[in-house]
Amino acid sequence: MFNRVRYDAHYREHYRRVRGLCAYLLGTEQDADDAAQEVFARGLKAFAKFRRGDDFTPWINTIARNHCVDRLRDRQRWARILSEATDADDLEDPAESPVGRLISAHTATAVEQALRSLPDPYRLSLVLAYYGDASYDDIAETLETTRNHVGVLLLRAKQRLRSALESQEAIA
Amino acid sequence: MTEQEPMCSNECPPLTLCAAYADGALSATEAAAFEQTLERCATCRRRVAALSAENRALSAALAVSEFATQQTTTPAMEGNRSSLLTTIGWLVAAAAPINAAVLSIGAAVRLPGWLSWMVPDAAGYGAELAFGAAFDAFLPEWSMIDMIQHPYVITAVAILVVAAILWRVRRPSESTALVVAMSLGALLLLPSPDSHALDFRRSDDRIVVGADEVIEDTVVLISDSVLIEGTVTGDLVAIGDRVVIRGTVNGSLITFADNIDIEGVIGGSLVQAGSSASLTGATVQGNWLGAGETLTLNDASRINGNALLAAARVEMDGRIERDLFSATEHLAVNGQIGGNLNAAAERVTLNDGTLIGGDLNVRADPESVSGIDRVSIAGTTAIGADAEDDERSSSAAGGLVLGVVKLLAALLTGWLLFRVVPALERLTPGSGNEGLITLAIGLAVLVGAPIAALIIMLTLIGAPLGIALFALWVAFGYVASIVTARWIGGLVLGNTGRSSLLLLLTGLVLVAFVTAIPFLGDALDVVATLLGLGMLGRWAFDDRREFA
Repeated sequence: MFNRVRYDAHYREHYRRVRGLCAYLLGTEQDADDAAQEVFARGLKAFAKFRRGDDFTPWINTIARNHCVDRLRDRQRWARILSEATDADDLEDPAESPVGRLISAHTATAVEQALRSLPDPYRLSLVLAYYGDASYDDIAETLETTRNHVGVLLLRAKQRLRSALESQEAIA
Repeated sequence: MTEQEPMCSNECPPLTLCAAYADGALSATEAAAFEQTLERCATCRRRVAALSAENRALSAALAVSEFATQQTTTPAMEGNRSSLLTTIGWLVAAAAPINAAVLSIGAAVRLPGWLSWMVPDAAGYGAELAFGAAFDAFLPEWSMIDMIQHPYVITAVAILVVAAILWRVRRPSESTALVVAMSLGALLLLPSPDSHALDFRRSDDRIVVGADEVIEDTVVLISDSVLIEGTVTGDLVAIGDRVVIRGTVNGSLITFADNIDIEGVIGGSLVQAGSSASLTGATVQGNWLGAGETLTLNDASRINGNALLAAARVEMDGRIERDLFSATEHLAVNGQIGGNLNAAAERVTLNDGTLIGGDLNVRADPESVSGIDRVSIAGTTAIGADAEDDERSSSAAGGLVLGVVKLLAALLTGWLLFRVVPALERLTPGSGNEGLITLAIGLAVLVGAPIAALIIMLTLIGAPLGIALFALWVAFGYVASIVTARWIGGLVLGNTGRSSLLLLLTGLVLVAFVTAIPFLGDALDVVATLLGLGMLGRWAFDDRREFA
């Protein structure tokens, strides 16, 4: 009973953030509420294993990550994208083509749109690394790839994001 | 657009290493080694700077984008099989056998006087009035007074109050509604009173139940004018402009009407609200719970239970077997009261024919009470602004000394307590809904602990354990107000850089002043204790980190 009161407090505190994470991970607003509810329902079942004093954020993030990835996973397509994406040849030098300034020049909505247009593995890696506070190991585990590949994947994902933003500009 | 440079010169590590460094993904030793490279290589420094800027921009954009900041309100949690409310539902349901046990063995237990309210047949006056009339009205087949004196019922009501608070806090969902409904059902079905079929009649103009007519049902009548000359065997609910009862209602009468005239017999209780109600030669077997502008009970009328009356003017010329509790502007009595007369009134007129079998407590200006010397009072008489509060009306100086002694005792206890358990000093009830939950837990502790102790005691071998729990509960109650006072002190002065003794003293003094306010003070005292109990309860069972 007291566990439940405790969990409810966490729920109220974290729901909106977790819902945001789900929306990013799934790439759509539509199923975000549903996914977030499911994440918290799974969390409640596993809450007995959550140690008092631990940080709730990474704990529930892991559940959200696993749940959303389960919803999306398309093994064949992902494997193909990952094998292309993790080829470390001809990466562009970030110092020459800074995505940073480009992102700063766009509105958050534009960035979100560009992000949404990326194939799942790219979007997932970016969201996990820069919104979900996941480590390379977490991302590698989630996407079923290796830690070394995650670095390359992130660099590629940023490049894809840049092209998406540039093409938005071109349309506008 | 950009000229493709070779990614890495001979000295430069791969770009992925720069990225991993910027992403904070290197181990401490790897990072230290890479920093040495950075010192030597301007290219790598530029890359790391660019990557870090990218990361920051991306994090910032993600954090403020619509996805993350969608103005969604947090919905109630779904799929909660083991929710708090379900637990409460189970508790209420499980209380049925406990109820039976308490009934059968309860009388054998003798408790000290200050716990007497828990023992059947010794319930407090307040609970009797508050619960009695309401329950009696809806469940007339029960022997009302026996039932409401039952600790279980009080517990169940308290549990439902807690459930209602939680329901409010958590926003209603189907499952919580279901559990609350089931809890209520379990409570009401416990002694399963005889049920009546429900008859519902409605007319724009007038409903008359003739002298030879018998309604074998509980009936709801809605019309401009309702006249009952015959008999209703169940309860009668009558709503209209004018309601006249000349016949007999075997159950309770619940009526909302502008003008209510009762000349017949009510087998249960009378619950009534309307601008005027007059009982002329009427008999009410249960309690009379009345509200209106003018309430009159003539000399041929009789209430066999208690009367709880709130009206601008009350004229009581008949007979009330038990207590009369009246909150009025003007109370005029010329009849007999078997029990106590408790009145809060601006003016009280007692006439020659008045007989009071119990005590007279009038909360009013003594000069506005007339005829006190003409009436016969079996018990004690107390008249004044604080008539009911003997303790406070005792010598003011003595009260002050006692207050200071109490304050010092609390200060000493608190100081010792916080030395032994420093964590207690940092308890807070939480803000917003958290605070409400703390309050609800406080209520659960306040009501639940003594009930649990009593139940443990009833199992004979559990007697020492039960007594220990009682003792703990009393201690908790005392500590609770100290913890609350400490919290308030911190709230007022700020927690940093102050001596904890000063904070505690400030809180205790504030609480002492606030709880001394008439009427409101008592309520605030209860809230303070509940908050403290809630904080202690949460601290004992909850995630302690949150309060650290």
